[in-house]
Amino acid sequence: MATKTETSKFNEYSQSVLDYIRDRPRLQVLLLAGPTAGLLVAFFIVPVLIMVWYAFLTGLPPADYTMENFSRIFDPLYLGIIGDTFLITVATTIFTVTLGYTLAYSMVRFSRKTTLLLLLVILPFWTNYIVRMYAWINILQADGVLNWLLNTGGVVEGSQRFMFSHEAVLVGLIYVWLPLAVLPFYASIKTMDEDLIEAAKDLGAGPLKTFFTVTLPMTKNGIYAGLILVAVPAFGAFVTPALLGGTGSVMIGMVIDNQFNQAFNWNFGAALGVFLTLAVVASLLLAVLAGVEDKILKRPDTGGEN
Amino acid sequence: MNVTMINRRNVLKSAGAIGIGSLAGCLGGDSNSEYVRPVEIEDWPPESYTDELNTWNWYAEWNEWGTETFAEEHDLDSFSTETYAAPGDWFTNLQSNPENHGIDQIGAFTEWQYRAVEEDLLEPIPIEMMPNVEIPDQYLDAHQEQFWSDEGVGGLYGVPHSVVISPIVMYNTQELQDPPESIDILWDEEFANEISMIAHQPAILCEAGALYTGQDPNDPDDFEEIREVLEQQRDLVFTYADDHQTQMQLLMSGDATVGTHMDGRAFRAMYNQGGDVDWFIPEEGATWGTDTIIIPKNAPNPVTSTMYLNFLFSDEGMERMIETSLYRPPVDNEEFTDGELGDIIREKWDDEWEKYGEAEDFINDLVLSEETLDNLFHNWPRSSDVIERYDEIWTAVTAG
Repeated sequence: MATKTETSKFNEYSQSVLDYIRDRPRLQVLLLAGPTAGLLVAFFIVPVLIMVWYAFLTGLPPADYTMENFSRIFDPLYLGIIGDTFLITVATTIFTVTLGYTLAYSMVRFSRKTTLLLLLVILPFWTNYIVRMYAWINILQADGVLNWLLNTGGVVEGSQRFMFSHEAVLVGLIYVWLPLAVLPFYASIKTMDEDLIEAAKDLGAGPLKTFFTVTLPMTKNGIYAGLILVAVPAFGAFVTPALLGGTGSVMIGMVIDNQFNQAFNWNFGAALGVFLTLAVVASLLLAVLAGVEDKILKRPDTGGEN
Repeated sequence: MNVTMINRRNVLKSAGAIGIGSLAGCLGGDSNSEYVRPVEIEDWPPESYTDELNTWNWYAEWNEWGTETFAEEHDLDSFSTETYAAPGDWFTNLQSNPENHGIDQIGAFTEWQYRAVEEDLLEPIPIEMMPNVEIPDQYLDAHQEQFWSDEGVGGLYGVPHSVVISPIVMYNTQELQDPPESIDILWDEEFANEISMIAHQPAILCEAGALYTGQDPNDPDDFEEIREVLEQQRDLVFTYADDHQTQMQLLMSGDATVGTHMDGRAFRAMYNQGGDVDWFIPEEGATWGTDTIIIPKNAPNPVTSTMYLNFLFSDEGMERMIETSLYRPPVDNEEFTDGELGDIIREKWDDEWEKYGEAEDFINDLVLSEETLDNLFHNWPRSSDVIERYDEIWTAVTAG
């Protein structure tokens, strides 16, 4: 058991440490942000830099430098796959954002059991991604739940093939990313000042005009967050298309996975990864520079802040 | 009053001491204990061994049983078993922590074992002094030719524990009876939209193309021809299955009438799950390879790991491998037909193992006649050019 003198010494020591820190603002910043920054550097920046380095090598290090890995990306085969991936990503994002926003809006405006609904939205996260995909296989396969329901209801006769198609991939991706979109939408709609809607109505705006000129612009930050949260991971998806897709459903994430896990061409896999990272970042920057925000929200050029 | 003053130097000194202390704690181990490589084991059984064991193997059930039983028999203090999603997982682990990966033993297969040998990540294993490791020449020779250590210490990199044939043709017996045993069936328009090809690896898809065009799957002369026939076939194929289980399910459910797979997976579908499926090795041939057990360099418990490997090759170990995985162990055909292993399979098949079908049918499936073996290509060596060209073909064909 510590004696009174020891306790007192400990307190004095602690106090001197605190005084030391208090007098040094730069040390405070370092202590607060340092661990997080260190983790980011160690587990994000350094791996990305290693990937960039690998992309310029001919093999595992030590190896010669080359640009061949990047020039190979421009082969029509890989450009075609990147194009297909882009289309699937756009479709997934449009459907997910539309569904997610509608769901979030309904939860905020028309439901009293919001907590329960939110819980249901995040419920899928309690289950492993792969398990969720296998659940979809059970639903969509020839002797699956969907076929059973349609046959029982007399809608179709015999088993239909829903699996192994672009549609199945789309359903799988929307299902996976929908909760990620709903959460930021919900937060932005929930925190919006409702008086502005009332004001718009008082000034004669109808429901649609109110929605497009007030609600949508006021929740733009949530929409951007949702868009990014859906589009970026959908662009790199490889498990869903691999499990639910059929012939011609190859996405670029599958090619990258294959380079690392099967073809053992880590350099080309790294080059594809770097290229895609740059492409995604460049697309986001271009979208901002091109004023996509204004166009989506139908904001006039001279509109200023909403 | 004696107040300890804190300055920058003291803070840095304390942080350094804590860091070094933590690092030492993480590294652990007894720096005084002598490291004995598997090939340096002088007597069998080894006189001394460490009392820990950490294994990675995708034959999860077999490995769990093995480590638990071995740990009990040898009074180990601790043991752990891990499975992995892709071979790249263990490879990356060894490569990024060559001296401190903490893995004693890994279940691998030829291609990745080769890569690990090339990167100097593996220990040779002294199979000649291990009493339970008795692999017939027909399976060992091809492996030994590629993977005998040239370090001057002897020993084999990786010990084959099961023989796998691919691509075999698997079909649903409700939809198709007694088909002609040719790979041509996979290009038969009668089965348009009823064919599912396993394509979790580029090689297994391209091997089918190579066999269909009469080429050596390890070293084909005409890659364009392989690509062309696989692209022609694509119109008949409704999916390229990305994993073993999906392909098994597709064929068992009748979603697919016919497709390719590995023989071990056909056994599982037939005898573990009672699926209405059957299989054949196409008359054009197939490839055979082995799943192996490797010991990484700087394994923390190399002697214990070598002893455990020997234990897995015991009669009991092989019996449990068959029971849990239904894969074919590398033993003489007589072991299955007239030997103890065959007797055990017959005895335990129904009541203890609760398998479907007849034990005798399974035994017949395990037997590989000389004629059959002559018609198979050992799947290694394969050049990096072939691997890269197969990858390109796989990407082009599956992307449509």
